[in-house]
Amino acid sequence: MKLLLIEDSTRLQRSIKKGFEKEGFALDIAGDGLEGMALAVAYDYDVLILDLMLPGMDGLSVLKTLRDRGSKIHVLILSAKDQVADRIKGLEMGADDYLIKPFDFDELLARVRALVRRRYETKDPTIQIGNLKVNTALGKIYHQDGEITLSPKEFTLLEYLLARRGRVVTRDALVEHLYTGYGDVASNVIDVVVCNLRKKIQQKCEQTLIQTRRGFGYVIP
Amino acid sequence: MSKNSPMPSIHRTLTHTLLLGAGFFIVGVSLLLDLTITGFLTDGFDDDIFFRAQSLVTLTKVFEEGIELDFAGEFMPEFETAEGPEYFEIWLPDGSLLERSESLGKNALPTSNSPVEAAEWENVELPGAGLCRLLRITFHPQQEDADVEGELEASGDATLGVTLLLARKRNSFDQLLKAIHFLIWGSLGVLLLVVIGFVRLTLRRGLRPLDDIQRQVQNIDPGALDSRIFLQKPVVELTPVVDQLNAMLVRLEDGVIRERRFTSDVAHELRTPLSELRSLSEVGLKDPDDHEMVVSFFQDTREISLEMEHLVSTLLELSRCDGGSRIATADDVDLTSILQKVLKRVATHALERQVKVDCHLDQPFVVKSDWTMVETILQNLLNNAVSHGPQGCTVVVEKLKDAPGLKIRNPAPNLVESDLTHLFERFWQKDAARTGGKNAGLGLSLVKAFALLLNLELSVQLEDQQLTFCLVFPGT
Repeated sequence: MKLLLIEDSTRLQRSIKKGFEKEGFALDIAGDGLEGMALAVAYDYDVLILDLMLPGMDGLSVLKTLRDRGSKIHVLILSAKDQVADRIKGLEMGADDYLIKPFDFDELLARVRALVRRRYETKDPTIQIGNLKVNTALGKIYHQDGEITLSPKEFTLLEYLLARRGRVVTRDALVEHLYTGYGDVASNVIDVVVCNLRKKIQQKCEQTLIQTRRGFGYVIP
Repeated sequence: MSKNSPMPSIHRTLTHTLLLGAGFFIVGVSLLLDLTITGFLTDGFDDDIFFRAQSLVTLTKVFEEGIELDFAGEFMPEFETAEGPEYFEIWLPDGSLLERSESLGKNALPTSNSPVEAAEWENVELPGAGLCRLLRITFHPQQEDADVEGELEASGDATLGVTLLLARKRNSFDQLLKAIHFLIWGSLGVLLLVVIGFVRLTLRRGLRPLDDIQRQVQNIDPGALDSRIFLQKPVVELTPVVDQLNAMLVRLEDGVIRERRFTSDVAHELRTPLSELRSLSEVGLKDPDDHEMVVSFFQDTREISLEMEHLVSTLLELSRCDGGSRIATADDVDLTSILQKVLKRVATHALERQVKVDCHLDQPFVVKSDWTMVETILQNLLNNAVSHGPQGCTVVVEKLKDAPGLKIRNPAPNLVESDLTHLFERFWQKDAARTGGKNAGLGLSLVKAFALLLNLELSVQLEDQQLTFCLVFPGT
């Protein structure tokens, strides 16, 4: 899943980015409102984490501009403004969630995951597929014998394919949603992740879970 | 004042004082009037009796046959009938009765008939006639002048002392006195009622502006500090009070707003580093084995700690300035040396932002001031110029030509004239976005606070988008 964080505190940028990356998310960063606005318009992010008091262009203006342009991106406002009026204003201007600084990182993670689920219209975080049970809220996958340990990237890839179950997902789309940056990823990196994922799942006899469509990409039927 | 005693009231005090004063005055005047009139009438009544007695005395003469009363009842009918109202008895020196008025009938005047040296007055109860005023005098009746016929002369015989008892009914006189008493004291009662009404009405009207103020002050909501007091009809005595009170309310409102904003700003300034600390620690704890990440987080944590320490130190300095506990010393301070020291400190930051600092001071420039505070002032002014001037700009530091002082100038393309009034406000920043970290918006506040303590003239102006701070030291 790919996220965009618009936040002017570099130290907060670093810690949030690290934290999300360790959970398998790809997170792009913008340090001011104008740069953030440009990124949000140019790329398809699953969730935008938005500070309000930003240099260049304030957070509410970014949000308003995005909504005026018809963007349906899920927005979580992360702000030190703690008044009820601020929260109401933010939500009324089109934010999907509001979290006040200082915040619990796990809570931020849970709220972002909830917004991702909402984007793919899966309220239930548990997905049953064959003998496997995938919990997207906890980031875990279970077989009848117990938990299968996946790396964050493997889990995110699986989660993304499950969210588009029945549809072929191209390698480019997977790169865009799994990695930060814009084109610095090696071309076979997705194949490597899929290969590792298949190995771990095939050990539990789910040999045909992820199928390859040559020339197109991957699909979970 | 004891706990239970009611609070003194201007209204009550004035009412009581005026009513008591007016009451005592009116009662006193009435009493005086009553006594004067009663005395005057009584004297008149007595004088009348006395004159009547003189008539009887005149009519009592010594003849050859002895003492006789030359009395003709038709000229004095009041002695003739039983109704009186006058009665007399004339007693001879030997104690025998010379004459008694017809009006007494068979009664006698109930008093002694012995001679007296001076006229004596008394009130006696006469059967059938009631209370009477009685005069007793002893006199020497006149006799025919031996030399001139028809002329009378005083009797030379001291033994011929005749005593006259003359009484007059006083019931009608007493009724007159009663009527006068009633009139006086009745008028007093009415007058008192009128005075009470007048005093209360006058006080109510006179003290209406005061009551008005009291009502408005009582209705002030402690939470709504924008309340003001208005006098419907301005009065000389209260207008200055109301003006002062309103001025105090304005200052109070400003103070509370400033305090609220200050508290909110402090909270906000602390939220950002706290968020950073919490996020760093929580993410760090998720994977403590990631050595590289943990080390970088520790570096961030140290930076945050230093910034918070700086913020707290500045706040404490401001608090000490506000509380008057920051004492300034008066030493020889070389501004050139301080500037060189400060320039070294800002050099790294200036290099990062490609800002050139052009300092025109190379000779010692000594003033009398507090070294530490002047250093802080110059440090903050230069930090401000280097941090907020546009990237690649030039900051100029030079001596003032016409006064002992310095000016520091830097381009400020984003500032407008109205921003100048906020520059020294605590936590004010041109960009509402809190960048956190080093710039909390307290540096210039501290500059102003120190300048005040050191009696420096600190001014700021914006001309052609050049921001210039001038610092003039007191004459040395």
